[in-house]
Amino acid sequence: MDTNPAPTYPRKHVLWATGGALLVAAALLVLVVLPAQYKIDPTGIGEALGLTKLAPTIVPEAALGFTPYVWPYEQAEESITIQPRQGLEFKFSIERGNPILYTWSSTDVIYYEFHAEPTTDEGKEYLPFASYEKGTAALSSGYLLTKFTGRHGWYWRNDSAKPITVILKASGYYGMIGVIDPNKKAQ
Amino acid sequence: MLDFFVLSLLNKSLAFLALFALPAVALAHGVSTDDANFIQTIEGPAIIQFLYLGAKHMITGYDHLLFLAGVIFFLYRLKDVALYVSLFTIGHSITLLAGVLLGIHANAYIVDVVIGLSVVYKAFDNMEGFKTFFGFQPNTKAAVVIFGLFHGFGLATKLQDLTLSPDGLVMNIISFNVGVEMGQVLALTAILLAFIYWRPHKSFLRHALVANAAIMVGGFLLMGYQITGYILQ
Repeated sequence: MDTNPAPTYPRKHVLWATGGALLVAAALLVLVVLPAQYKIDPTGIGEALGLTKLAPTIVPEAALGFTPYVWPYEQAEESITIQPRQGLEFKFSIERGNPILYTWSSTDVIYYEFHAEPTTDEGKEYLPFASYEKGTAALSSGYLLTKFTGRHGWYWRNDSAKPITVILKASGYYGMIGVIDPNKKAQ
Repeated sequence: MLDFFVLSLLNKSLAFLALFALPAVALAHGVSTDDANFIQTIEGPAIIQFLYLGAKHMITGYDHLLFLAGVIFFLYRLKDVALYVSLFTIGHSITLLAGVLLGIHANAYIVDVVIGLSVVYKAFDNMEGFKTFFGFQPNTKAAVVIFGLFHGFGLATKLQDLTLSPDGLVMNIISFNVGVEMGQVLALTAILLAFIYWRPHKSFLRHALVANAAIMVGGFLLMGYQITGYILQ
């Protein structure tokens, strides 16, 4: 043996150490690890210690990304023209947890901000508004699963000298509000 | 300039992949959701990110640490430590590089069962169990290399959870591998210091049996955990 100046232990001791290790490991496995990792709890001790709560919940087959809806399905295609040096908003009223799938393209690059204002108290942490995305583009697509009930949509600002038309396509479970003209709002 | 472009592209593709790999990563063992997020958010070359992930994986990977602790348990000379750790490094680097480059997808559970077994084996070896019960001593160097191969497969399966982009594959796994070795040096230093402090004590040899039994518990536990995972998968 070229390495170990290890002591040689009596057979009995090695047997005890190995057997003991196996027993301790088996006990820990059954009492603690399996309940906490896999919710396998034959003794009920994992449950009593609250360890089974740690186990990742196995997603039931029906919930694999699937949610049934009872609200009417909406689909829209809107043409929105923004005058030079003007900005406007286009909004959808969407309940919490509902999806909207959208794409818009514009005749020229335009500044935009995809955002939402909560309309109920449960979304008040997002006041005055939550910004999803902003930038300058001529095309933007996405999918939103709302975190709160409110008015969700875009602000577009035309910084160019010519009118820009935005074609917005959207589908999902929502109520349409439409264009919110800041000038009208001020009146 | 081209380098920068390639790196930024790699970075973007990684971030993109990490986004989709998130649920998978969270379910797989080894690489945490945080690390996937990390890749997603940090700007800069992927080399650093993979160095970090490799080092982190080694330092937080109790399976590798237990095996290493077992390996150097009775190695008193630094020369021997260096030799055995190098053998382990050769072993795990071969399968880490080959596993990812050749796209060998070993079953992560089975690999982890063998890694657990390696811990049990080494602890039993440290108890002189083979000589005592079977009357012979299996080659300790060969054992370190062979189990090193399995540890490398373990590392590969974790890396495969993150890397899919063929563009930066070689660079990334080499970074990860180097990171693993850096983490190994750090972890070894800590383990060695503990042994250096402990060995001169009279209690060392007396408690060595119990200490190896404790290492063995870790190995058995890992085996049981992974066998169950394999059955449930």
